[in-house]
Amino acid sequence: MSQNFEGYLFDIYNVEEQIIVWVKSETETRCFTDFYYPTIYIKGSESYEKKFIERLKELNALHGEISVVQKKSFYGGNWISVKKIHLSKPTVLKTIYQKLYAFYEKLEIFHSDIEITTAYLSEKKIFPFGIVNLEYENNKISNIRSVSDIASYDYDYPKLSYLEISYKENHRIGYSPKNPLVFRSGENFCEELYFQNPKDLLQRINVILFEKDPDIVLSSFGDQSIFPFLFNLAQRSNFRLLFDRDINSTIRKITNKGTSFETYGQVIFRASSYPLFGRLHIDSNNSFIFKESFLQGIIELSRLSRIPIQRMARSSTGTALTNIETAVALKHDYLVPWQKSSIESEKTLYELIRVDKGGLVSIPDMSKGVILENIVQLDFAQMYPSIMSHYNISPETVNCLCCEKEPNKTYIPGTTYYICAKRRGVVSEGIENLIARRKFYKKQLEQIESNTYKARENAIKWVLVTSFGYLGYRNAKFGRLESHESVTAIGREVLLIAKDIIEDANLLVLHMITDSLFVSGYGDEKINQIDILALCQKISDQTKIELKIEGEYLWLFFPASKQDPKIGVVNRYFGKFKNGKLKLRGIFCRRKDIPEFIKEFQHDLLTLFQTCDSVSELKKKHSEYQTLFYKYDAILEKNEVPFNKLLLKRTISKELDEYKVNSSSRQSVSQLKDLNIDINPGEKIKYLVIYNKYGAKEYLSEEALLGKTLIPKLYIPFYRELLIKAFEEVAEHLFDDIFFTNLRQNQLILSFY
Amino acid sequence: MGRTITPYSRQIQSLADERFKDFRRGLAKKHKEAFDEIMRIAKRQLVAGVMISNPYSIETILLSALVELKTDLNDLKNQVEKLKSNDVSKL
Repeated sequence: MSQNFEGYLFDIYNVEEQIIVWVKSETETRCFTDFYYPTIYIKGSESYEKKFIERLKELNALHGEISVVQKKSFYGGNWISVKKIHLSKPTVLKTIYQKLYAFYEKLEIFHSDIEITTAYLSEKKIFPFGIVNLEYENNKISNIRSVSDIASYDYDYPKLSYLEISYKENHRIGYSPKNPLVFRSGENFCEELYFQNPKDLLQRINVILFEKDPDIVLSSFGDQSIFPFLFNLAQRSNFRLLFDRDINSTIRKITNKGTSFETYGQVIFRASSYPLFGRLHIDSNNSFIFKESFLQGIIELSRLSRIPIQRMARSSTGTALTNIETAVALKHDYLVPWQKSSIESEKTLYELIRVDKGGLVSIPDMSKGVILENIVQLDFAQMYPSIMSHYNISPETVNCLCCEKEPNKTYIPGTTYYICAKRRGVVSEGIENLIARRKFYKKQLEQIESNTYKARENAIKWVLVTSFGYLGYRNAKFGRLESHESVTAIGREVLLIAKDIIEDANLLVLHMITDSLFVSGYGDEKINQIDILALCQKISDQTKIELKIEGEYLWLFFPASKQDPKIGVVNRYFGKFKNGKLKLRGIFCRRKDIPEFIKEFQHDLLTLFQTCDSVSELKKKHSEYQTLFYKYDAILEKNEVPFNKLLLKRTISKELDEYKVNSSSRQSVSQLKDLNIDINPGEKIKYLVIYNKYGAKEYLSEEALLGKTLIPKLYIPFYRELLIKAFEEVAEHLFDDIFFTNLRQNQLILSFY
Repeated sequence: MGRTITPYSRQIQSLADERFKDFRRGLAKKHKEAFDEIMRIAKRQLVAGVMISNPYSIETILLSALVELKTDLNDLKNQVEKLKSNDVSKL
């Protein structure tokens, strides 16, 4: 007898062709199974097609009959005949995918790289955390359908129970009486776990898991250290931990080796992942998205991209984006290329010089001074994604094959590239939906305070930020350099159009950064709000990109360059808006590597600035700034700052033996090695600057500090210099030249004592 | 980082610091200031320089300097004209 069950699709994973679906209703969380045979398409010479199919037969991986169907080619846009194959063994997909390059130019294989769970969700038109209604018999799904709409902006999600797990002190020094595991649930439950006998620990954990039955396990460094440790312990003690709800869960391969990789000039470390079966494990330190917007953001992206929650939490926003774009391509019956098969076309050196450029940035015009009043900042909303969407920029639409012979093409300014006039780009369409979603959330946020909307808005913002980069990324499925270059070319054009229109209205453009403009009048007069709104409207109409007033500054600093005081610098400015809020860019306050204590000082200083509404008021408060500085200086001199507020942060970029200089990073990594702690490139370390026994400067890592019984002597001059720099950075133009020199000399005298 | 072509802003710097370093050394002290100012003008006119993508950056630098000098000259001319007509109030 078939029965019905309705609830939120909580988790999904597969064991070979078996799909396991967890559904959460208001009263219970249940597990169901289904079968799924993924589909791939092939096209090539007859002999290769035949050989390929023979091989599948040998592997017993063929399911059902092979048919010939019509599909649209991605770059050409024309319909082509391909063979449709169902696979009975999804693991074969991986083998095919890994050997794809061997088939290059002989046999094209499509859709072998789409994750099985994502393909299943896609085919059934369901998605993570959407409501599903299923018919089943003996827990086997006979029919599953979605009750909720993937496109809806407003949706509910089930009430979830949480369990938080972390080490008390530090994830690197391991489990010990000094560093027990801490389990937290809700506001009333918090327990530190340390037992002499490991079995007692495992038993206690199981009791907690049984009592709390958490849906979500939130950990701090769970992937990197807690779960490898616990699962290893459980395996050795032959003990079954209740972390999985699935009683048939597969055996885990336990490793704490992660991977280090480089992206955008930064080395990033990603730990190996420990998903749970039937519960969701999210590691707050191994998740790109978690940091920005917590679970709500993950749910939003997971829904849109059909990537299960635990995988989404460990993926980059780019993966979500690629999946969202793939879904659009599939909807239009495209054969999705496994990797960008269209390589960059050749160009002359001159063409390269013309297109290999980023956004337009000007040096601030200092003709009106360094501290300014009555400045208006105008921003293009989501400039690059909007260009991609409104100008139809996508890999298959720039220099497309279908418009090659058209006599009248639409060229991109400053390039020899043209845009397709026949097809809507896959990337453009995907991005358009995201922009619309974000706009809705932003509009809601203008009216109500909502953490949910804020999180969703933020998650989408990051996908949109990624979207432009992915267009030029070598490994992105929907990446193509020409389209990437087209976006920046249009961006430059849009900014220039805006500049011309503003200047024609007899206003001065003081500074431009890619998508924003700083505008003032020629004299001291205030800019009329209605005029500027009309200008924004005119520019938005002409450029197709919305230009908005970011804010009107009561005062604004464009600090002069340190190397050449006669010229301004890019990307460093701060000021106070009319609504009282400060805008800070490029200063200590915003940097992650600066010690908390220094940032607190600069923050307090800026809070003093915030009380002023004009440049003359700012200048009147000299003595208050100095008093504040001496207050912080005295706390530092007296050694009254807690160590954790003085820790500097660095990302380790190489292995220990690759360091040539005995830098802070090298010293810290080497200390950690002495403590038997391995640091992978991309991991972050924290350290103090102290005196060594010879009275010279030395660096002490956080973990080495925890192990010390003697209190190290801080290298005060280093921190004092940082404090002065934090002061100088924001206040140099409020004091005369000699002031900071004197402050520094004072330091020299002091250090003799 | 990931750029095939050195951006124009960095080219100005490298022309000033490397290619024309000895040129600057050969100048009398009072002219060195003018040399530095010309490089500064090029940086101030960065947007124009970036837009033109001229493979010969020194041409762009010189043209930027010439444009600013011409503007300054025009301003001065206007001021002189006004002084000549004794209409000091408009200055």
